[in-house]
Amino acid sequence: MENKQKKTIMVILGFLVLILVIGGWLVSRVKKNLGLMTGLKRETEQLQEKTVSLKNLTESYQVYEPSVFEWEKWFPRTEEEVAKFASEAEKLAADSGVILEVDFDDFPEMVEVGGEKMKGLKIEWTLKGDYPELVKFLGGLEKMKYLVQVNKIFLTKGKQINTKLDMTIEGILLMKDL
Amino acid sequence: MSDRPALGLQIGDSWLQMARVDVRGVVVESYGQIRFKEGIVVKGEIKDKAKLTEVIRMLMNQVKPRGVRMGEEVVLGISEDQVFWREFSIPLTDGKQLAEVVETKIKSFLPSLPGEVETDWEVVGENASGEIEILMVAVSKLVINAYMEVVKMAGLKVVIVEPMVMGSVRVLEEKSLLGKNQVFLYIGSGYGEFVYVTSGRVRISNWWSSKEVEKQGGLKKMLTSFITYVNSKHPEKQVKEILVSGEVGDLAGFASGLKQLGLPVAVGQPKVKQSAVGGVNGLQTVVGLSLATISKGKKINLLPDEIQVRDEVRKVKSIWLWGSIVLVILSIFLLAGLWWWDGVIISDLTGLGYVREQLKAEQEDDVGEIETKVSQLNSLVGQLDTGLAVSGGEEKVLTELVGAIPEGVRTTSVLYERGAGSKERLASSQADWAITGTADSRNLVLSFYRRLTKKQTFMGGRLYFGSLEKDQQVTFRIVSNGE
Repeated sequence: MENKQKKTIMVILGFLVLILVIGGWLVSRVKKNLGLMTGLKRETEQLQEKTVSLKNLTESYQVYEPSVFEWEKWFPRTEEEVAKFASEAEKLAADSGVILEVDFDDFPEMVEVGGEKMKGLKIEWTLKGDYPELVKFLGGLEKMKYLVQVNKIFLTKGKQINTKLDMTIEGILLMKDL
Repeated sequence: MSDRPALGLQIGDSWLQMARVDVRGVVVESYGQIRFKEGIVVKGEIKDKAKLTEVIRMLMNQVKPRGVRMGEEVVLGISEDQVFWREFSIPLTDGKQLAEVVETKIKSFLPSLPGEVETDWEVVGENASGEIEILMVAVSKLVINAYMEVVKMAGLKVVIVEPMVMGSVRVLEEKSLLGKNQVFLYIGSGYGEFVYVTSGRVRISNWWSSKEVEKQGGLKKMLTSFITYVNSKHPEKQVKEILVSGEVGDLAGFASGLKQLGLPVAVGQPKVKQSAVGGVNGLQTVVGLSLATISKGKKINLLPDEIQVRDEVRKVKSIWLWGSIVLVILSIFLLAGLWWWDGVIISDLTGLGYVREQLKAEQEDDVGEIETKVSQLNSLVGQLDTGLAVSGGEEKVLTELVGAIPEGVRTTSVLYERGAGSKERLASSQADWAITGTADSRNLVLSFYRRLTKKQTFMGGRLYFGSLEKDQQVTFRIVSNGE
């Protein structure tokens, strides 16, 4: 009887020890997983917030997207687009009554514009016309949807009497990096 | 010993009774009685254990309505023939000290008792001197052991051994006992008892058989002698009432017959008012024995101390064992709960991990795309800002120049150049410029100069004449301040 009781007590104690060990292991496991859960929740919340921010940013960008398309046209990228610019300038000259002779550098290069390095193509144009015609041309040039930094204007009287004025414009046509 | 009602077992010289009350102690749930031949038990002493065991087993099967199971707990009533009573008083003490004083006193009585005895005691009152009155009960160990052996052989478990009279008094309603000094007359089956009771506490008991009544000259005579004896022993607590109880059918008639003794006679009222089985009334001693385990207060128990201790130890062990088992079960549930919780957390972790990866993947695409677009937009806007800041202003240069030239003045050359590192338009205060020309007179040159330098584009210019000697075909030069 005594032995049986001892045996029962030992079995129960064994069970309790086993339960304590398993319980300790489970508690530490749950604690660890809860920590992971908290971290993951925080990370997911941050990602969700970022997603919302991205959505807002995308929506904001969509408002500007049409303008971007238009603004990009202000910067020629290829030789073909430069030629288009030249054609528009020649048309403007013709409309203004000015004789225009365009000269571009062969290759664009990085130049300093307004304190920043930008891609630009140097130009040197010769124009012939009287003052009103030249004013009209320059006004038209400013209104063109291209960006030309004029560095120098040089005006001389025509070589022959009663001829029109000669004007030289030196500047840089701002271009877009490909 | 439990708080459930036990089986009352009363063993007489030629009969045996068993009864059990319900848990509330108000209904007799089972009852049985059997007669056996004389000689097996004589004046409460067991003469033939085997036969008595057999009789007990027979009764166990005959108890109505369902018999008695093996191993049931039993309160055993010992015949008063085998009980030694002793009253004594001790100075007023309390608690543990009281027990020590009483035990010491009891030890002093032992040499005068026949052989080894089991003893127990209870406080029964207080005398006129303020001392505590104690009732000591003693029974021979041989008698007790014989009863224990028989009951054990029959397959039952004794939890209390007490004089039968305790059961006879216990069945009575307390209100009929409290505050009264009474002689309690119990009429049993072939026997009777005179008991001196104060406030329900048994002090003196006298057991007799029907044969003895005849020898002594009748019941009334015996009762008168008993009352005289009691009053002589307790002059300050004289008998004031006779209380009649027992198994007699017409107790009221019996009681009225005793009135000629000159004392009030009352009929005992039982606590147990109902019975689920026939042949028993609530006033029977065996019912009182069954009430023992559920009645309050200290009670006489002549069960050997070692058995009582062993029972207590068993009870504690049992409680510990069941407590441990419950603890183990609860712990297993707790572990299962933890395991389940851990599973839920892991499941949540997996779900959240999937959501995180999805969000990351979405953002990697979106962020890359939108960052590129925003970067392109920023770059474009930056270039546009810079470009717009430095372009234009050429028309203004020429317009202001043309507006300032009067009739008679002719420019021969105009140079307008952006200042070094200028972040503004061409027409600005940082520009360098120079104008040369001819004029019909000095005044015309001066007029041109004044008008020109009022213009924002040419402000601060300086005038130089080619020659001041002649007033016709005058040559001049106007240059910017930094030229």
